[in-house]
Amino acid sequence: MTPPDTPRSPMPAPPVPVQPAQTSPDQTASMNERDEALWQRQEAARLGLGGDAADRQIAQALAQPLPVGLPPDFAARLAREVALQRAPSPAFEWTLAGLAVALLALAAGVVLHLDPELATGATTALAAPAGNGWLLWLAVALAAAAIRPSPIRPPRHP
Amino acid sequence: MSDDPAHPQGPAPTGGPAQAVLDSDLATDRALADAARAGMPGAFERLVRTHQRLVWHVVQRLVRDTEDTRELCQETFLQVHRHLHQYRGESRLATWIGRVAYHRALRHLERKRLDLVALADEGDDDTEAWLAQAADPLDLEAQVADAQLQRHLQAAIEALPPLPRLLLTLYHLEELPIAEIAQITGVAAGTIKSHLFRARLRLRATLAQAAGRPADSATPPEE
Repeated sequence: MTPPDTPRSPMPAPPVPVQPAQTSPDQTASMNERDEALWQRQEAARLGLGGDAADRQIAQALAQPLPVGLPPDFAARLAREVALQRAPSPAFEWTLAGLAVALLALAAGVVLHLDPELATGATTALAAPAGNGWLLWLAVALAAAAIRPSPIRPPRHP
Repeated sequence: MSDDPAHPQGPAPTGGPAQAVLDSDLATDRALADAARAGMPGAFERLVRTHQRLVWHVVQRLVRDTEDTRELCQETFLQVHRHLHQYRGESRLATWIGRVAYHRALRHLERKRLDLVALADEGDDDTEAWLAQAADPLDLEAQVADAQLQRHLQAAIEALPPLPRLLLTLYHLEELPIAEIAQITGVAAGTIKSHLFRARLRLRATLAQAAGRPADSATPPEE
């Protein structure tokens, strides 16, 4: 039987081959009347509806709660760990931003060094009236970035 | 073996109250999974809290070692988080998570080269003796309160092979229907029933021995 929701990639095949006698599609067919009667008695004991003292004691023992050896804050700790994995750390973000600025400055320096005329062109463009449009688009882009949260930044937990 | 009403093994009838409850459960599970995947505050913690008992039972019953179980529980939930996008809400979230835990524990057993069912086969020759014995009523009324007997029984449960031990726990303690246990373990429903049947016979034989009755005797003790 294949469950409808099976995480495929992380699921390995069962590592230990089960004996053929135990993997037959349905072993119910091999049950005779005696087995059936005993099964029904076991089930009656499990449901508290019958069975003898031994069956009832077995059912009772099997229903005894098992101690769960996880720390009380297991869920909270895991949630914190997962949240940390999702969110890039502030230090990483600042480092990345610093590297980007340094890279841009270096690129600008190299370009201006190789072609000084570009400096004149850039100065002219910056000094040009806003009518040529680029300044307006820059303002729009900055405003949009400020309003819309970054898609890589997850919502902060309270 | 026939189906029992408390643990229905076939698909639930569509359109009935049971189906409505199942649909509601699936919707709740989907909402929780979506919230956890989206990083909603508290969602993943709630998911872990809801299913940590089941995961512990699945892993501990197979692996037994407490430290290993803790580690595998953590790995299970981290894996669940990474693969939440694969949960489509067509089965209960508990079943899906239980299956992840089961395969994690299986991989662990594989690394340790432990056999899942070897010990189950070891006792095959005794099955007929257990069956013969189980046909007779076993009067334990005098010993029911005997702590020694309880300890024998618990030790016998612990001594079961990993797979039957897990199946008994899922069936008796988690009260999962056999069909859902089959989804978690990938073992056929008939095979699960057979494991449950034989494991309980084996426990009964242990109990009889502990109560002072020979395990291979088919006759009740004399009054």
